[in-house]
Amino acid sequence: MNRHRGMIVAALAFMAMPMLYAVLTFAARPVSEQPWLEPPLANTTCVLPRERMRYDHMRYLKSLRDQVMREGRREQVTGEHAQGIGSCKGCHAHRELFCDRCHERSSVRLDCFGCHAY
Amino acid sequence: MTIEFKPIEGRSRAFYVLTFVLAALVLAGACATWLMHQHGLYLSGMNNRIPWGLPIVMAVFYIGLSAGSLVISSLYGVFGKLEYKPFARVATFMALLLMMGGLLSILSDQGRLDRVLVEPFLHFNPLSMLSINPFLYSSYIVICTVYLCVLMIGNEKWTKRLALVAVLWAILVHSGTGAIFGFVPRELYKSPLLPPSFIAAALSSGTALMILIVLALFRLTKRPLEPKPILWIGRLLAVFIVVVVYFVFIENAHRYYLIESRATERYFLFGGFHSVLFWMGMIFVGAIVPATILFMRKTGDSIPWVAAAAVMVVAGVFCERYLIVLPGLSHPPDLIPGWRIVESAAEEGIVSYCPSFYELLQALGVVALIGLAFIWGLKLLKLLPIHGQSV
Amino acid sequence: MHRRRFLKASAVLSAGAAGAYALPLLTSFKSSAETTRAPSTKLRWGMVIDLTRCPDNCTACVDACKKENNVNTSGDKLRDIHRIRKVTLESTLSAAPARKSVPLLCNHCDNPPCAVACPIKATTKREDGIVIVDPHRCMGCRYCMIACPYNARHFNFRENPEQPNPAYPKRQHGVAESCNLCAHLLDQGKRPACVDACANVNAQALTVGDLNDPNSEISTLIRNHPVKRLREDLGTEPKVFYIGL
Repeated sequence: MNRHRGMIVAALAFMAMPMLYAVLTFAARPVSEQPWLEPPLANTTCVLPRERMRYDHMRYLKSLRDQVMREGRREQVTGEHAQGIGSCKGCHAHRELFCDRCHERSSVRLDCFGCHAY
Repeated sequence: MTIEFKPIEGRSRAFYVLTFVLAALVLAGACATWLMHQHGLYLSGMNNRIPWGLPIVMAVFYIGLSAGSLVISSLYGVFGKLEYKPFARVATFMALLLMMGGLLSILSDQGRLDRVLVEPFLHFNPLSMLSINPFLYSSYIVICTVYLCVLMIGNEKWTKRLALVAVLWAILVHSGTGAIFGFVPRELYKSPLLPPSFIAAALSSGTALMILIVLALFRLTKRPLEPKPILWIGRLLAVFIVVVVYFVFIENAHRYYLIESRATERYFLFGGFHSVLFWMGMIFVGAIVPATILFMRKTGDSIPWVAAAAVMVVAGVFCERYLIVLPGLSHPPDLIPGWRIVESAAEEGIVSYCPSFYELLQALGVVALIGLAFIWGLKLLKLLPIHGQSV
Repeated sequence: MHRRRFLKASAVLSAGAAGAYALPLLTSFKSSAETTRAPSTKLRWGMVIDLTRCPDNCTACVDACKKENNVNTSGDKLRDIHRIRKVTLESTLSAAPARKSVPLLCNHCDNPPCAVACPIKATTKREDGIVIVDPHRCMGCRYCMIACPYNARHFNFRENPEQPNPAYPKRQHGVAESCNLCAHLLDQGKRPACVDACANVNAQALTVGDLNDPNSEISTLIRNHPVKRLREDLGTEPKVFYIGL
C-alpha cells in the first residue's frame, strides 16, 4: 500500500474534482418555483406554444440561426420576426424582467446579448 | 537486472522555494490569460496581419520537445537498449507534460475560451488541420499516460507494444503539426517538407532537452550517473542536427531557386530581425557550433561540452519555431502581381511583431506549470532511478 | 494479480477514451460537405467591380459597409476591421507608374481555404456561394486568417459596444469575421450596403448578382468585358471579378 501512495493520492485528487463540482452544483440548486416573469406586452401568440418555448427556446433559436445564416432560408423569419432574436423584444421588452430572471436563477450564462442588442 | 526507482526526497529548502516561485508564475500566467479572455486579445501583440504569435510558437516548441523526449524512452522500449531503461520513465513523463503544455498554450490563445472547450468536440471538421491535430495531441497524451503506467508496472511485452505505438503516434503528431503550416497557401508556409522537417527538429530539440534534464536531475539529487549512455545520445543528437540542417537547406534552396518565391525568400534570409535569428540563432548557434562540438572526439566525449551543445540546440530549435510561424505572416502576400499597394486603410506592407507583456506572462506561466508538475511528479512517483546504470 | 488488473483497467480506459474521441469523427464526415460542396447550379452570388467607373477618392462603399455592419474604425491600421477597403495601386512595370484605386474585399471563393481550415465549421460556404462566419460558433483560433491568401479576414481584438445599426449585431471580442456580402440583405432581396451606396453616388461600379443566371446583369458584364480575378493561379476560384485591372 505504501509503495503506491503517490498514485493513490493523484487518483483521489483527480476524482475529487468532479465530485466537488457535483456537490457544489447540488448545493446551488434553485429552491423555489419559477420566478415571476414580466408578461408579454402584445396580445399575439409567440412563435411556439409557451411550454414548448420554455424548454426548447435555445434549440429553436439555434436551428433558426442555422437555417437563416447557413442556408439563407428566411421563410419562418418574416414580418415582425424578421430580426431574429432582436424581434422577441417586441413582446418581451425588458430582459432583466424576463430572460435574466430564469437564467440567473439557474446559472445559465447568456451568450446572446454580447452581440445582439436588447 | 532490476533497477530500483525511488522518488526524490523533495524536502530541501531549494525544492520548496522552487515550488513557491513556479506556483507564483503559474498564477501570474493564469491571470494574464484570464485578462486577455475577459478584455480581448488587444492586450496581446498580435494584429490582423499577424494573427498568431508567441503562444503558438511556444505550443509548437513544446510539441516538438515532447516527441524528442519520447525518443529516449523508445531507445529502451522499441530498440531494447537496456542502458536506457533507467531513463525511460522520466522521459515518458516529460513527454506527457510537454504535450499537455503544448495543448495548454494553444488553448489559452483562443479568442473564446468558453467555446474552445466545447465546440471542437461537437463540430469536428475532418479536413481542417487544426481539428485533426488536437485530436492527435490528446490521444497522444492518453497513449503516453498508458505507456508510463505500463513502464511503471514493468510488463516487458506491453512496454514494447506501447512504445512502438507511442513512437508511431509521435510521428503522426509531428507530421500533423508541420501540416498545420505546410498545407496553407501562404508563400513562406506552403511546403511539403514542413512535416518531415518538423519531426527532425522535434527529435533534435527533445533529445537535447532530455540530455540536460537527466544530467541536471542526477547532479541535483546526487545520484551516480554513468557518462557513456549520455555521450552516445550526444552522438545521436549530432546526427539529428545534420538532418535538420539538411531539411532547412533544401527548403530554403528550393524557395530561392524558383523565381516565383525568390523575392519572399530574400526577405526571409536577409530582410529583417528574423534573418539574424536564422543565421545566428538557428544555423550558427543552433546547428554549426553544437554539431562541431559533438562530432569532434575531444569535446564530444566530455559531459560539460555535450551539455553546452544541448543548450545551444534547444535555443536554435526555438528560433526555428519562431521562424516557421512569424516571417510567413509578416510578409504581405502578392495580391495583384505587377502592382504595388501604396496607400490603404489597412497595413499592407511588412509588419513586425513584438509579444506583449501579457503574452510573455502567459508563456512563463505554462513553462512554470510544466516545471511544477515535473518536480512534484518526481517527488510523488517513482520516476528517477537510484543510479543511472542498468547493470 | 494487482498488475494484471491494473493493466486491464488501463487498457479498457484507453479504449474508452479512444472511442470517445472517435465519436465526433464519425458524426462529422457527413457534414464536411459544407466546405467542399461543388458550386451550386441554382443560385450563385458573385460581384463585379468596374474599375473604370470607380472614382479615385470615393469611399462610399467603405463608409456604407462600416455603417451597416457597426464597424467602428479608430485609425489603427493593424487592428481595424476593413470588410471592404480601398487601396491605391502603383504599377511596378512601367517607367511612369500608373495609379489605380481598387476596392478589396472577401472574394467569396468557390474553393475557400478559410472554410477548409476552420476546425469547427464556423466559417462555411453557403449553398448560394457566400462564405460566411457564424459569430456564435467561432472560437477565435484565427486559423482562417492564416489560411486566407488575400488577407481578407479580420479578428475582433476588442469589444465594440456601439451599434448605430440595430438591425445588425454589434461586435463581440474574440471572434473572427469577414465580409459576408451582406447576406442578411441579399436574403431579403435587397442589395449589399456597398453596392447600394455605390449606386447612390451614381458611380455604379459595384454589381452583385447571380453568376448562374445567363441573363443577370453580372453575367452580361462578365461576358462583355475582359475580367480578372485576384490570384487566379491559386485555384481558389474567387467570385469577385474586376473590370479594368
